[in-house]
Amino acid sequence: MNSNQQLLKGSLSVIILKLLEEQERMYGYEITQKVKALTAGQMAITEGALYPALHKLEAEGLLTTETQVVEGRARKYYSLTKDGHTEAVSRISELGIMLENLQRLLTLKPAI
Amino acid sequence: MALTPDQLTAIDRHLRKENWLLNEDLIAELTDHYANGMAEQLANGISFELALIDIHKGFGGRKGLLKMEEEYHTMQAKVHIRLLRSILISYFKMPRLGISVLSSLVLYGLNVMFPLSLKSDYVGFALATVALVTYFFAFKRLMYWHKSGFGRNDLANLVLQGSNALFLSFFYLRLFLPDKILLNLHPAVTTLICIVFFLYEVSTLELLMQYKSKRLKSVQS
Repeated sequence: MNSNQQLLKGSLSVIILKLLEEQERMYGYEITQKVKALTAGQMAITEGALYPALHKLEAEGLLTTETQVVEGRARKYYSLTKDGHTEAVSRISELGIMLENLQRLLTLKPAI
Repeated sequence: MALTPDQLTAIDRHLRKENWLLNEDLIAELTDHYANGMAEQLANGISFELALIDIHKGFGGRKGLLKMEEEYHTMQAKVHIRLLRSILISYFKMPRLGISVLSSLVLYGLNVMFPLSLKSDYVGFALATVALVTYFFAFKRLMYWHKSGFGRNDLANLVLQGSNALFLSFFYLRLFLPDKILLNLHPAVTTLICIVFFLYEVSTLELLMQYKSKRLKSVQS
């Protein structure tokens, strides 16, 4: 696993919550494609990381699911619950603060 | 590019036979993912076999898929327990609190009017038999959930089933224990036992109905 993927895995739940805030409901494959498209292919979520993250968020009560038959097969759509909306705002804000701090640390000028 | 029925069958075989997955809900979800990913790769001129290998790799191979299924069982058990808990709690809040109070009063009345009469009462015995049979089916249903996604190692689930069995056994032991042992049992105690069992069963039933209607909706749409 490269460092990019490691960073991605740590913030995967926030990415999912953010995407579902923007779009009312999404299915697994759609999420992988959306991330790829938004980052111009720089970031790719592996299936092995995405689905456990989705299932965990569902277990935590942050996501709810509904199944629809599309092209003759079942498709599971995920959407945010009421708690999920609240948690999304909180986690996005936390990640934002962390990134700001990280940015500050990375641009730190060496003391003379 | 839409996949052919043969290609969809090949994906299904790949997940079930070659990767040993058992959970129907997970298989359905992954089949859709495989189908979407492979349709895209086929449109780009990649062969079906290569596309299948590529997506399989994304899941971490067979090991990754099996691990995912195991985690899925645990997560689904949590979902079921959380839903069951929220339904149970709803019977202690308005407006459902009314149902609980009314049921308690009815059960208390029955316990006062027919104390320990089940043994000699034919109707009572028949009702108790029906209740035991329905409990057997309820237990079988929980076993099915266990296999299809109800957490394999979930302690909470085990405790829940265990306490249910304990309450039920205690209540129905009235049929088999000598009357003198239970003669002094206050109707309020038996009512409490009855209401716990009643609310648990009603909540489990509601949870099942929720899942059933969810699936029906998916078939109808």
